[in-house]
Amino acid sequence: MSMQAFYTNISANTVAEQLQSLLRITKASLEQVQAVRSELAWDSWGEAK
Amino acid sequence: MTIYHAAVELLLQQPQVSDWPLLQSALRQATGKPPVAWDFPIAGCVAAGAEEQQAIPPVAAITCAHMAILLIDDILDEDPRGKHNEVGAGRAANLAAGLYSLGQHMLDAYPCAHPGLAAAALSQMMGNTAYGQDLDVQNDHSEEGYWAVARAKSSPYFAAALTLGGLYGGASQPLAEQLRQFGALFGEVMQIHDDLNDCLAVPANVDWLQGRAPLPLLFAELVPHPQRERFVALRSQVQQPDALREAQRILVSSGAISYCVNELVLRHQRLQSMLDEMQLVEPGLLQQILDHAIAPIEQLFASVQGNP
Repeated sequence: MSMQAFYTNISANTVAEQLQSLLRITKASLEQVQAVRSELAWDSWGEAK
Repeated sequence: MTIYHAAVELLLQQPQVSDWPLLQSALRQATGKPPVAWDFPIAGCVAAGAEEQQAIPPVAAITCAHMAILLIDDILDEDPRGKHNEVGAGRAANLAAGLYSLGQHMLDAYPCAHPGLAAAALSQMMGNTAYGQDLDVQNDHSEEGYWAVARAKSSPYFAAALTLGGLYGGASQPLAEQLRQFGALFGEVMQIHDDLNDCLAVPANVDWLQGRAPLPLLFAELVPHPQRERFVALRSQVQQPDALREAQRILVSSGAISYCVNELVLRHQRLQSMLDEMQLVEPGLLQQILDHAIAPIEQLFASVQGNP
């Protein structure tokens, strides 16, 4: 990562928010994650593989 | 009649189909079961500035390719639902060859302005996918191996579907190449989604049972997190509901799910940039496809927002 890319990352609130969200997922319950899977059928190309 | 049904009807009208009962019945069965991304050629065609009816030949070609990929995949995976269980592996493999040929025939019989580029797009897809399928059965449990398989096996189908749609919509060669790159990256997105879906399924998906290495499982096996040894021990026991549940919890707490989500977000950002850079007459369908792909992630982020 370049200095500019690093600076851009630490300057962007959206990046920090995204990292927080990723951290929150690690603390989510399995049920919470699976609820999203069930609700949206977690798009896949399924049978096509 | 939808574009998909029009494409299947066109396939059924071809002489080589009426001469071959097995091919004909396979296509009839496909009528009610559109393949994944069957609408990608339409999105590419419309994006390039043509009416969606122009995409009927590439939708037909992609449908043939998809059916052929599935036939081969099921043989390789020894899938109990596969056609080879009904007609034998030899006839199923031969049917796949016939379908590939029929797909190519559709592009020859109903050519676009760049028939050579269209033929190359389809043949490259078939060759690259075959290579990817061969890599996949070798079951390499490494990070590099995972991405090599994903790029070889999943990307070519989506790349070819968009490229062909674009070419039939009148896209220039540079725009067709941009669509190919977009489709290739989108193929990786679909593979990650598929892996997430399979790993979180109850009861345990075959990926767990056959010792496969979808992305979340690979992360939990390779990254030195505190529950790694426990996860590896659980993997062979996931036919028991409690063991599966514990292993799936480790996927969440170890960061395996977060890692996959981050990989999806990074690709989504790149895809959005690629879409913004393309000079498209009508980008709406492609944007819809992209929005649809990120929706589960946005839903998950919203769901955990209130967590500590």
